[in-house]
Amino acid sequence: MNNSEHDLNRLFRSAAQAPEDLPAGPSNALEQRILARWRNRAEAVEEWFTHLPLYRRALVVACALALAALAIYFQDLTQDPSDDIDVINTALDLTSLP
Amino acid sequence: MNVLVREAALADEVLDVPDCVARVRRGDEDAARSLLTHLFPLVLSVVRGHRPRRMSEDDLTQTVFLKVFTKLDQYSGAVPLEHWVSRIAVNTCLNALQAEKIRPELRWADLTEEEEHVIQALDTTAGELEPGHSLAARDLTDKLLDCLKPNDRLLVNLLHVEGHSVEEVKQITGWNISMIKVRAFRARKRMRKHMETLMKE
Repeated sequence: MNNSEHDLNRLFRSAAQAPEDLPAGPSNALEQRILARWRNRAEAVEEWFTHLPLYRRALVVACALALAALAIYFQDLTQDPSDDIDVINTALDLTSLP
Repeated sequence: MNVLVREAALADEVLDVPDCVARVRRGDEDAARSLLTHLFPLVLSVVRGHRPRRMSEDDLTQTVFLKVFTKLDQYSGAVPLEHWVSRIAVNTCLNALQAEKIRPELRWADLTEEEEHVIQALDTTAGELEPGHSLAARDLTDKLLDCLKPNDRLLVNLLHVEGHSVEEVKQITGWNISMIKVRAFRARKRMRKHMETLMKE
């Protein structure tokens, strides 16, 4: 083992012996802060779950509307073009009336 | 198992951890307070060992506990709660360390008088350092660790300062054994180089 490796090991061993003054519990301020933030998050999640049926219903309605819009769109696409020509002819007839 | 986990396990005799966890899941604030007090020394120890220089101890401890409480539903009970919490604490510290991009270059002028004595003692003697030097040795080790990348710093701290086995480090970090060994070897090499530079100064 070279010198620097030995020195590093001695440093680590000495560092590991350093006393650590770990408090038995959190300070009152820290405890209050943690619990308050946890409570707020829990309330936010709870609020989300309270409104969940409403969100679900809104999603169902939105899907139904989207499907209806799609159906109308496809119906227009598949419509017989002669209908359009009839409409144009009728319009022309009406304008050419005395 | 490290000392804190053992102590926490002994404290389990007083605190019924599974019951406490179940109550916290139901939103019981008294149970959360008990669990907080029970886990605090363990979390603080991890935070102190792996905290970025510019982040306050309290802020990081708070972040760890919020993660623990909000993810408590995901705790399966397959491993002791202390191990699960340790892993969350280590990952939180690692994320905070990774956000800190600057790695300082350590110079002789950055050392305190006590740390200079430690370097001199390492240079001039061959035996163990005096017990009175342990605090300065700890500070010097922290300064040398600050020069490493976050993952390397975490590894060296766990393996060589806190005295965990490779298997324990694997459990804490989730990294594979060969990666741990290779990283630790390279990190030590870098630390030796920094220390040699200091000794030459």
